[in-house]
Amino acid sequence: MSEARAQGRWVAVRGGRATDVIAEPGGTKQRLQVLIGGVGYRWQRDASFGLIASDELSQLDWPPGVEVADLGYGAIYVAQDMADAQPPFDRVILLTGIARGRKLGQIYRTRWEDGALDPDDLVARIREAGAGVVDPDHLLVIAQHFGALPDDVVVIELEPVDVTGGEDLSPEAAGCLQEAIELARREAFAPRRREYAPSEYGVTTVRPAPFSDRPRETRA
Amino acid sequence: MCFQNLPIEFDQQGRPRLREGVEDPYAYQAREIDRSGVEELLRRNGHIKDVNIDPVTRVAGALAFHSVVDLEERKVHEANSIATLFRGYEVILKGRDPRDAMYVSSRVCGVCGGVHSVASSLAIEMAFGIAPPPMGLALRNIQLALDFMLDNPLHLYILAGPDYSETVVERTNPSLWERAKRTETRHGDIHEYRTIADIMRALNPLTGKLYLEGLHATRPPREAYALLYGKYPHPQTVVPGGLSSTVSLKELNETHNRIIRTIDFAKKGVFIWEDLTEFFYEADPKYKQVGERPENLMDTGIWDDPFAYDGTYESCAEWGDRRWATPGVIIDGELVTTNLHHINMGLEEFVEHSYYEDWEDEGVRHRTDPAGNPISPNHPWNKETKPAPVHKRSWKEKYTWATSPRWDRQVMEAGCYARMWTTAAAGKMPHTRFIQATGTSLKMDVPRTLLPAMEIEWKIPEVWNAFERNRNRAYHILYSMLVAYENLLICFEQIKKGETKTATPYEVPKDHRIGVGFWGAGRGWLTHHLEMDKGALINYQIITPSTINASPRDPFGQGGAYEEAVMNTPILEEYDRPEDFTGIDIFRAIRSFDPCMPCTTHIHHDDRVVTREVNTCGCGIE
Repeated sequence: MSEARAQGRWVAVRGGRATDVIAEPGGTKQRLQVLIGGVGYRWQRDASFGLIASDELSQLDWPPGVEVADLGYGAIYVAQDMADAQPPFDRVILLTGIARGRKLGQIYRTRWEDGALDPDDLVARIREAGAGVVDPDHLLVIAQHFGALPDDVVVIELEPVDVTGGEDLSPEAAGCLQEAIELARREAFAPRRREYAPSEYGVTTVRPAPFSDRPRETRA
Repeated sequence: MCFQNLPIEFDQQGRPRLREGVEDPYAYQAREIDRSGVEELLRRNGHIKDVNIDPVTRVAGALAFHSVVDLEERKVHEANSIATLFRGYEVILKGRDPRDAMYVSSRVCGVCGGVHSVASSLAIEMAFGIAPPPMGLALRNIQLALDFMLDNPLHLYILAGPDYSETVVERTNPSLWERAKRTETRHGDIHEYRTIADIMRALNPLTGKLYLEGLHATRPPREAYALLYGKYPHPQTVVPGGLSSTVSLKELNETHNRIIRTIDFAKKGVFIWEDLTEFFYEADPKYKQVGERPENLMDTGIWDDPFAYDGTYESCAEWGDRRWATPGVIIDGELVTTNLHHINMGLEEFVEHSYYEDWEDEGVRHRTDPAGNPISPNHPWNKETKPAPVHKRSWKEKYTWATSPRWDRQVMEAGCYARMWTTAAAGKMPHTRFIQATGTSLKMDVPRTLLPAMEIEWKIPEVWNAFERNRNRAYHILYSMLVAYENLLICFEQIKKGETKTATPYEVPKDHRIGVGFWGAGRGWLTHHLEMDKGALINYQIITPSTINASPRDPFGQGGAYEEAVMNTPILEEYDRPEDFTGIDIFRAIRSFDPCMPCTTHIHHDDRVVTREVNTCGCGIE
């Protein structure tokens, strides 16, 4: 029984271990602790994009210090697990499918920027997460509140095309999968950084919209 | 004779049968909803508001609430509960290997996945004709108790608790807050809060001591869960016929340690909710009407006797009676049955006001259950999930994705309190070392920890409302801990005897089978009904506690449990202007059900309408 399990943390999903170390700019070699996690519900087509991507990523060989996890559970618990991680994570890479009103079927690389949290918004998110809602913005806000996030948090997002219940990704989302996997892999191996370099995916700073302003979705 | 409305009678041997001479025994005439009175009120009275508690929807699913409130008379005239998303897990499961159900259904929810996994495994075991060995059953019992040790404190201190906090009460009921500052607690020697105001301060979100302890209290049970079952909340070890994990003394000792660590917090919690409840009742007896509804509750029972359960439908009445929580139906406060056959036979699901087509054209697949007892064409074993969204919501026609489960065509309520009520009233709980069902109460011998040993007694309440739901939930934590403790002792004994097998081998049958998992969530009743053929599922139906409680009106014109509770709720909040109205009494009523729902309130005003927004997770939604 690993210590991670004893602490109630996630169990890293499959994946072998290699011995690479990640180069620090300037030539210093230092091992980074990296968490890659998919966030969302399963069987909700493009809304499950993050979990499908993290399942694929978990099949790759990773060096020590990199964990790939299914974070499709309540944000309070994910945040507690992240806060308990020893050694702490230097970098968190989340993958998810989330509608933010952007061009559909595209991958977006976003950076989570630490900032002041609105207490009412935070309480609302904790309440909802406590009742079982899985939502990447809840996770980021709640994890920040609990001091569980490192400075370096990247979110690889798909703007979903189809989020009706179902197993398969939409063709557009399926076409983005390998791209997201490669991007996550590149992020994991990126050197320790103080600034985010632009990439073909751009760098956008993400702050979730206030809870009340989230887009409504009505199917009836 | 437990059925008053269904056409079922019992012969002299007590065997149920359809009443003779009735041509179409389960036929009914759907009643039209008459809103003319409410519409007229809205037209004539400026002080009567259409209050929409709307969701900000997400893939997670959502629950909204509509009500018509007279702000002068302080009365609710109409209430509609609305599940706004269809998630389709039942449809996804059709055609799959039945074993997939444990993994698919677990992902319905981000916190209570494990209860769905086990409910699936129970249904599969019945269909396969297998049962776990005693060690596997005892471990399964511990698993469920750990779920509740996590779920119930989270509700009391994070989801519902803030409604009783200083920040809310001071704003919504200033006079009550002044009274709280002057009122000494009765059990301060145990929980260490001198005044009610001190408790309310401790319930303040983000900073209050109880709020933070409530969050922290979720850690030990979750750690134990991960130790025994691989992962929380989506366990990796639940298999048909038991658990795939091998458990040693080490894991059991670590689990024991974590249960003990949480007992003091649970003991204090009982007295905190006792003091809060009595304070509100004494401040204004009308608080007894907040969330009030008929004493109609049901539960399938949980926690199997490891030496009695055989997994068969035919003998479920016997093994059901041996559960640590006795199955049962309460009608008007009276226990009418504890028989799982009767409970299953009385179950129907209606969709007249839901976004589904009926399944009449599919024919009736099952006229009887596997024991030969009659079941309705509207029984889950006959139901087909046929989503049929409409473009315009109508309070008279269809307004929700939730369905209307009913028992004997009566509106029922699910909750952890339902199982404590049926267990207390039945007095059947077997061979327990720590809990006694007296007929009117449950007495619990709680061992000494940092606090002394205590005999704690939950009594069947004289009134049924929001406060009693929360009060019961505090007792339910201890109840769950004692059941876990008892089953730990059984595991220790099994290890001593060398009986450590946790699962029974099986083969997936290729012929036609049906099964049902009678299980429970922290919020109450949970059933999974399945039908399979040629090794694949041909039908899968889930009824969750929130499906029952959030149900819309049924064809007989009866509103669901939330709707009834809100209709009966007086508006006790203090306000001078409509725009100051927060709806706290309505929120307390709804949240007391622990409706898989973090009611998130956002208030928008214009001249005429007060709007609130409420979100839920998708447990009540199919």
